[in-house]
This record gives sequence, structure tokens and C-alpha cells, in this order.
Amino acid sequence: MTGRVRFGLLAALVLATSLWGAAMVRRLNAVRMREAAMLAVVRTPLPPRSGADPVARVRADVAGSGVAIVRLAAGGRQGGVRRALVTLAGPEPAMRDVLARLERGRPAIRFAEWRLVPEAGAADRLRFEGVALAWSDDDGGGQ
Amino acid sequence: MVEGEPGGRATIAAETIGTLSADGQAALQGQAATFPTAVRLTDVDILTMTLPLPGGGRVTRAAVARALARRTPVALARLYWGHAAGENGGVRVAMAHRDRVDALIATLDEKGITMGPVLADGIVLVLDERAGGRPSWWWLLATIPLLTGIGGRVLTGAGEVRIARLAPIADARAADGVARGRAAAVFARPAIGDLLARMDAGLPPGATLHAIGMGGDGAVDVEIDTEDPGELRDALARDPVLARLRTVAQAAVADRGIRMLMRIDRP
Repeated sequence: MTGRVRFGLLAALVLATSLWGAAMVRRLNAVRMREAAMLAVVRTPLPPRSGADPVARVRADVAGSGVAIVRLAAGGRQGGVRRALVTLAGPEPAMRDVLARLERGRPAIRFAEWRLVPEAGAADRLRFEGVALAWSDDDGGGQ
Repeated sequence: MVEGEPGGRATIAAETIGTLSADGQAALQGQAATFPTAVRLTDVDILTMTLPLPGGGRVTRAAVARALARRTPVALARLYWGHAAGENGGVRVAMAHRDRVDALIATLDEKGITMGPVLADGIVLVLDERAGGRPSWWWLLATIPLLTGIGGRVLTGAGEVRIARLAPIADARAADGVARGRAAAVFARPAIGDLLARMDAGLPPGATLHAIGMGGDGAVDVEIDTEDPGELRDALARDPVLARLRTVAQAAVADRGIRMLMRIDRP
């Protein structure tokens, strides 16, 4: 084997190993970045979970208002906030009064999805369906 | 000049390598497979000396090198050398400059002659780390990125294992964050009471609110019964929020005029 061929082979070997090493380091850097991003998410302190109960709140505000509870069920949590599935029926003034009271008092209540429609077969009565979220100021959040 | 025995090793004098005839070259090439050609250095290329070894201990190459290092005119690393037993318990050492020997080796390589031992005054020189061989620094150059790559691969594998362990937790936390953001957005929307109050104030006489609702994306849908859609739109335009109501559909309703289905995409 001549000196030039040997030199060429050695140079190719060095170049190939350099490229392979660089590719491995590049891959390692990508993995490190992904791991750092995941660790940042995992190590972020958990936000407080609201202990406010929308079911109890709705039941308390509706009591004695002239509005009937058609359906009231806990709906799990959304982002640490408790949900309740609410269906109410009653005269329009009483219904407006109940909704205003629910959204004003504490713990704070807001409806994620809701619909207020005339009740079928009763022209002066309304039917309200909504998903209530409750948030207590004591939990460090809410509006 | 080529010397040798029939069927045995050929020896070529260093000074004749450059002027080797074609016949001599062919003969050496043919013989090379069986007996590599020995090179005999001339006196001008050689320095010989006899060294007394202290203590009369075992004659090893390392011991001779230690004694020789103090005596050579140039650094030992620049010489090829060999040794043989000398008189009176001493060691006879022959040495030659590496550059000279390497040049001879290169010339033989070019002529396609396989080279055997290099003889200096009857002593075989040890050709350690020949310039024509593979230099160690080339291997070092290849080894550094190789080790880097192996290390990178091992660490990448370990990182991927950790990522696989973290992924379910991170995904759950991220989903929780998104859900929390959506819940926070719900609390930023206008209250039902506010919307109803705006509708009461904004509707013209003769128009009635039939139904109202808000979707999961925050869009407000209202159904308003009116005799005059134009008047309704003019009245709604006076309120900054209700002015954004756009008509989605309208239909005639018995005894109630026209039912307008209107929407605010983002209240």
C-alpha cells in the first residue's frame, strides 16, 4: 500500500469518526433539550386546587327562590376547578335573580357553557342548562 | 549492489538503492514474497559505540536506552538503533538517523520491494514507530471523536430512558395547565346577569329575547323576535358589546314576526 493510499484511508477514517461523533453529540443535545423542557414542566409547582363546591353553592342559592332544580350533578374537575352540571326551571324573574346571586356570591361561580330558553309548554317559565365552575378566593384564584 | 545466496535473503547496500537496475529490481520483487530484502547501511550513515552497562546487570533494550540517552549526539527519539553483545561485558550499539533510514524505506516502497531488516555494522536496527508506518497521532485523531460519539450515544440512551419516564407526568401536567387556562378564561367572560341587562337595555320596543346562550368557546348566541330587523340592528348598534352581534340566520315565526339568530364570536 502506498503512502498516499494509506494517508487517504486514515484521513477518511478520521473524518468518518468525526462526523459520527458530531452526529451523536447533536442527538445528545436534542435529547438534553427535550429532557430540560419536560423537567421544567414537571418541576413547576402545582397550582392550587380549588376546594369550592359548585353543587353546594347552587343548592344553597336556589333554595326558597321559586326556581326548581331539574338536575344538579358533580362533573369532575377542570384544571383543578370543580364542575357541576346544572339544569334549573322557573319563572323568569326568579330565574334571573338566582343567576345573578350565583355569579355575585362566594365562592365565585361562572358557567362554562350555558343556555337560557323558554320552557316547552310554559310561556312564562325559563329553563337554564349550564356547566358551573366554582372558585374560592381562599384558593388563590378566581375573578 | 545486491548480495545474497541463491534461494536466501538478499541484502542491498543503502548507497545502491537509488541506482538499482531494472533487472535487480525485478529480482528483488520476485524474491520479496519469500525473503524480504535486508538493507545494509554504509559507514557514513552509522554511528557505533560500545557502552559499559553499570552493575553488569541484564542487557535489556530499556537499560541500553538509558545508558545510550546520555551519550548520543542527537535526541534518541531521532535515531533508530540496535545493540549486540560487545567485548569485556559492554554493549555494542549502532545507530542511524531516522530521516535517512525512512527515506531508504520510502524508496524501496516505491520500487515495490518488501524491506526486511536494516543492518548497521552487522547490528539489526530496531525500526520502532517508523515514519512510513501508521503514526500514532492519526489514531489519536480518530479515537477522540470515536470516544465522543460513543459517550454521546450512551448518554443519549440514558436521556431517552429518563424522557420516557418523565413523559406521562409532563403530559398530564401540560394537560392540567391547558385545562386550568380554559377554566380561567371562563371566569374572564361576562356574567349571565350582565348580558341579560345589556339585552334588556339594548332591545328596541317590540323586540323580545327568545333565547340566549354561550358555547364552550365563549361565543354568545341569541335569538330575538322582532317585527323590524332593521330597527333591531340599529338599536343593537348603540351598545358597544351588542353592536358586535352578527346575524347568522332569520326565519318567520307565527305571531312573533321574524326570529333573528345572532352571534358574538368573542364577547
